[in-house]
Amino acid sequence: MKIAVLSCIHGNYEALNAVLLDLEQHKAEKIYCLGDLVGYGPYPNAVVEMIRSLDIPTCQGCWDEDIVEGLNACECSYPSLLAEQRGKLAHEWTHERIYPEVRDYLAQLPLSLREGDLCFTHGSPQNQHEYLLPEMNAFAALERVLSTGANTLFCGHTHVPYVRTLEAGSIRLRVDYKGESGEETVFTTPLRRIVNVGSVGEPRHGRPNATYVLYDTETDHVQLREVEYDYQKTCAAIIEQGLPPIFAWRLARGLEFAERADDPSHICER
Amino acid sequence: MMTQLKSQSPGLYIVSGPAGSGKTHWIFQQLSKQTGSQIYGAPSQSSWCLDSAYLESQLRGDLQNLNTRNLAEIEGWALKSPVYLELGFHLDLQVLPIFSSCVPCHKIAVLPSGLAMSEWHFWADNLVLGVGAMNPQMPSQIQKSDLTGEVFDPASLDMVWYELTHGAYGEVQRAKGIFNVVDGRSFWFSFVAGQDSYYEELNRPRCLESRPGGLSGIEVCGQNLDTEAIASNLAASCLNDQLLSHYQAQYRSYAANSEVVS
Ligand SMILES: [Zn+2]
Ligand SMILES: [Zn+2]
Repeated sequence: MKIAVLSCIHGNYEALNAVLLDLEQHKAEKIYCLGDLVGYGPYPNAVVEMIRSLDIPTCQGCWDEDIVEGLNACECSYPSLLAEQRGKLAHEWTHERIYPEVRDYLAQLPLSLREGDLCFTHGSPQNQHEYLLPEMNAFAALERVLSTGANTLFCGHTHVPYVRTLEAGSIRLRVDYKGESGEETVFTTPLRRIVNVGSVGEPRHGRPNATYVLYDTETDHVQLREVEYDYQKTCAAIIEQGLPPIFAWRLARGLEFAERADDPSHICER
Repeated sequence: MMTQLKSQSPGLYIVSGPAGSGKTHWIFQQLSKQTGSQIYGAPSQSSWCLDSAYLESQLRGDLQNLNTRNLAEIEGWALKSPVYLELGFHLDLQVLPIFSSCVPCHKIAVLPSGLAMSEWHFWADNLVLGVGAMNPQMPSQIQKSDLTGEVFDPASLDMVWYELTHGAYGEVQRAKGIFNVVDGRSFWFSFVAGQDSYYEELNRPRCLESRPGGLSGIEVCGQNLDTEAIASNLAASCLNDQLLSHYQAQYRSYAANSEVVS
């Protein structure tokens, strides 16, 4: 079966429609969505309504959680004061416009979904706000996949797509106690994989195109799709709807900015 | 037309050229070779001048900074030492007094390569090859903001500078600034359209307590500039008092710890 996995639509209705058309042309039989339906983009309600009307199994993203719980629910995920200020602006804008039934829908979304040996989640299985970056240390990455019991973990949230294979390998563990060397335990793990599906509506790969993933459960083949769409329409709507014009400027360049800073010394107000 | 310039000898050296051609850089080179007094003025500019603040920080000696008030004394200075006067890109000769003919006067144009004929060619008696390519359009807008006392979050400053120099707030031909960042250092940022930005740390004492007093500001030249957006995004990139004292305390303790180690 061919499945399509999408994430991070962020109120970009044009991009979502283009992706839905593309996956239909590629004969995807089932769609999964990894959350962040709202935030930054001009059409949060329309995006949620579309996802609901198609009955797409969806996980809760960090933005979906924040809109339900308020910003305090979120741990710091802004790399700079400026990104934080813009994030808050986008949050307030969305918060004021979202319909109550849309908020109720976002509130009941699960943190992760399972289908056979596949697991779907927004950030990490533990937290919608955690970034599984491609350079994350292999052990930590493996631990995140193992915790789900699945072989392949689909995630989003970083807005940059990637596929990372964690080689079948062994982990040696020895606990030394008071100078005496203890017994060595060896774990062997089969091949695991993390597939980051990128972002439909707020890409961060330097081009405005939407990205998502097609996965064939029979052949185990992962295909990363990059879909062109009329992003100028979304840019115009951003400005028309009273969102900051800089959001449109960055969208047109594939420069979404709300990526977490790895630098622990980064400055934020929280 | 090109004459051999002995820039060490006393006299007036009036320097002009298009925006971003490297006028201040050329003057910096001359002044740093010099052993005697270093005298500089930028008479076409308003009450504060980023270029003089840059030269003051980066030159090892004491820069004698001429402002509009002591333009009358220039002749006296110029008979004893070289005096550098930097004019803006608009070649505004009106700002200069008429100098007596007993003061040797050199007119120097710092020009980018490929500039065939221009008002500078007619005016100058010395041509210096500057940097970059000539922008055919003269900037129609100049935005200057005094940011003295403001302290930036470096990641935010980086973001707003990137946006500014990549056209997010209108077509920028030239931008320069002196910015204080939270770890107590100050930097010179310089951008000319078509080239990469240039960054340099200023030789200023590190400020890890309260707000730095040295001149800080930004100057942007271009077309269709969204001056309001530039100002508000810069403001959003600065630390408030509470955040500043919190982070400065952290940096002070890092500094104290590293002193113990070394
Ligand atoms: Zn997202
Ligand atoms: Zn997210």
